[in-house]
Amino acid sequence: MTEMLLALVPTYGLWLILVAVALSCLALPVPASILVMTGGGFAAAGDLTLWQLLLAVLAGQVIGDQAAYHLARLGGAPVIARLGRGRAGPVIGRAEALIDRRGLWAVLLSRTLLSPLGPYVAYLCGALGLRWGRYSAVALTGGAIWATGYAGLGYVFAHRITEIAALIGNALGLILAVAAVAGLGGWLLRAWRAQAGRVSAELA
Amino acid sequence: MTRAGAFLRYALRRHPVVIALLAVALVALGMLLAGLISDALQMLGPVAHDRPLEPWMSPRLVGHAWGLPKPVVLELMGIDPDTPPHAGPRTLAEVMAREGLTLAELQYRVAAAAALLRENRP
Repeated sequence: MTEMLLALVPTYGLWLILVAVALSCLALPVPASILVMTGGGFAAAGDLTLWQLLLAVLAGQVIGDQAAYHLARLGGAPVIARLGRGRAGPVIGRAEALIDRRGLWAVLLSRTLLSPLGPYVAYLCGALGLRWGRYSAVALTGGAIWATGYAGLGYVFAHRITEIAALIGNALGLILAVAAVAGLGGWLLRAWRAQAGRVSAELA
Repeated sequence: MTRAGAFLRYALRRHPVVIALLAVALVALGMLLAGLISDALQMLGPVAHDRPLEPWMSPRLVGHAWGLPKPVVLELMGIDPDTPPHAGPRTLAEVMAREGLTLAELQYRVAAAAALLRENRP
């Protein structure tokens, strides 16, 4: 699919990149980072204009980020509120406090270094009620860094574009694998500690 | 029993599915890390002269990446150098279809022109 999309860039150019970036912000499996990086290569070769590419990427990110946030706000917030009234109340409360305390850092990281996690953080922020203004400002800043980074990489290394694409593919997969290992390992560790605590309490 | 041993026993007994998922994630992590290191080492090396062309590349990108002047690369691909950027074929796939060429033939032409240019460079 990636090659098919890449072949469409010289024809449909910026519109294709804008739509791809917006869809990727909703967690749809579109190789946006590789498209943007290759777009940078096309800009270096004169097929696209660099500032227009950056603008298109940023526009795609704003549309996608806002859609994810508001979808989660509309659809997820009532579910979270209902769960909060039930047995999961303390967990939801802790999650909301965490998003309030560290949410902006999570948004910035998930828009830059940990970009594969971006859509999920956007959904969480919308559902858990991180303030829209703060979310939007940080998402836009992170998005601008991401767009400049990937497009710049393609622009500077246009002569090694296929090697960079392979590198990005592996790096993004690696970020997801590290997140999965950290999440599953952390969950197991917490469950084990909770169980050890219960056993100690029973013995006491 | 050590704490790590106790943790592993607990996890295997109580959460075998999570352990299986964790094992899959760890294997994937190892493979991706190896791929990343290999790609990075390749990037540190010199640019290969025989690196492959791809059908999605544009003629201008090929010219830029292989260090060929625009008129040369356009001529190699059977495109009139005076053609405006959006009028001619936009990808190598379109060039191949229009000129009846294979990717290997295009690759040969580009490699030969790049080699000639390198030889004639002072």
